[in-house]
Amino acid sequence: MSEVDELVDKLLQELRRGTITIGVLSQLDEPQYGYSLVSILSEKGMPVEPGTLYPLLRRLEKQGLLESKWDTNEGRPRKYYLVSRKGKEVFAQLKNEWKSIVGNMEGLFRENG
Amino acid sequence: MVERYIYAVTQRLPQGQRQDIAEELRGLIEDMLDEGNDGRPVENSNIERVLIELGSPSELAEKYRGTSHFLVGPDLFPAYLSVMKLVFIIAVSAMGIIFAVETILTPLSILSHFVDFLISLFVTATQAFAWITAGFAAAQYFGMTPFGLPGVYNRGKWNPSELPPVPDEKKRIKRGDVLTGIIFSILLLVVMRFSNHLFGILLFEDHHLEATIPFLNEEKLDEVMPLIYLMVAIGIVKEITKLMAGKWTKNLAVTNLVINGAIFLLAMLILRDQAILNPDFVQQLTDSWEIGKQQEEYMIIKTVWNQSYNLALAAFVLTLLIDTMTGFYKALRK
Repeated sequence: MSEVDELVDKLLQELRRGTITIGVLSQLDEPQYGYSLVSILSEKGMPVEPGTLYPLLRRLEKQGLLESKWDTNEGRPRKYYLVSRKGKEVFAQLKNEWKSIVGNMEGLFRENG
Repeated sequence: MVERYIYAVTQRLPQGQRQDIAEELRGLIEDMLDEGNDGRPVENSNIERVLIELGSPSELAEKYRGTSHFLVGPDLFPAYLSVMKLVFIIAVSAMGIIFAVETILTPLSILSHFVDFLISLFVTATQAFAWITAGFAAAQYFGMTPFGLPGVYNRGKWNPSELPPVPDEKKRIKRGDVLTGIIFSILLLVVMRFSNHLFGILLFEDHHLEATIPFLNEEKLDEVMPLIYLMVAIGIVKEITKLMAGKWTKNLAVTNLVINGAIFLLAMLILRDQAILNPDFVQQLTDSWEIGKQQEEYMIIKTVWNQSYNLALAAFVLTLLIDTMTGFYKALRK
């Protein structure tokens, strides 16, 4: 991998870190378990590794943004996650911030041609 | 293999979360296996592929933990490093001084002295490293951030008033000066310990050290040795206090005065009645030079001996005075 690729890779990783959180919050109005969320996100163009997503879900739950419940009725037990009320509030604010960031970035790009 | 993987991950996690995360991982791995296989029986190679995709157990565990575990975190690290450096410089100097003294005493066994030097250096370095690290690790673990250390601020709700003023160049206490102070304290101690072999008039015969006429009285010296240790310790504490303060302030100058006063009192106690001096010094010297009591030289030697003592004492007191005054001068100047 060339030096440029490596740098791009590293910077992209930093960039994605926050967007994945917002992406997750946006998709959990309906309860999902980890792996179904991996599929949904990747279908919608935001591929996430399970190794990243699972710990993230746990962290968001600990912060009170998600609620979880084990479902043992199906063949294998699964932990379903759902956005909490606090999570919804946080998501709404993040969404606004995100929109303004996108707007500002576009402004910056336009200036530079 | 799946169980081994899950075990490897959860082993690295806090007890309370293990069960839950293990369940979740088991489900995830099964899902991932189903995904790639479309109902075909699972083979070992499929499992391997999935586990490789999930990443190494330690990496995954780290992601679950969220925060990395620090032995000594970034807040404490600069202080950790500077304490470490300081202690190593002092250790090397102290060992070096002892090595030098022993080599002067018995130059023929220089090799064995050097080996001793290396061994004690290694032992001291290991000990120092272990204890300093243990201390800082404990501070890290219990979340103690010693404010006042350079570069440590309240995280989150810090206030600009925490910023230390840029020390005035003229008031700053240089690390080199502090080090010199500490090394001299150790030098004093080493000289005292070895005094009777080295610290005196050396008599050579055919380029061999034949005898020493010691300046000090060995028995008395043993008696006051604890006092000397105490004095050296106080001296080192003084230097470390200066280092922590970083610049001269009125308080520091007063502290310096008090400590120097204590050193002075201790020194007077040690030198009381001049008992620590070798009472037979003049006699021994004149004997070895074959000078009779009636000769003029005898009186001269006696006078020089007494004068030297007074001069050394005066120099000592003067040094303490200058050190104290310098402190106040630097603290109070604008």
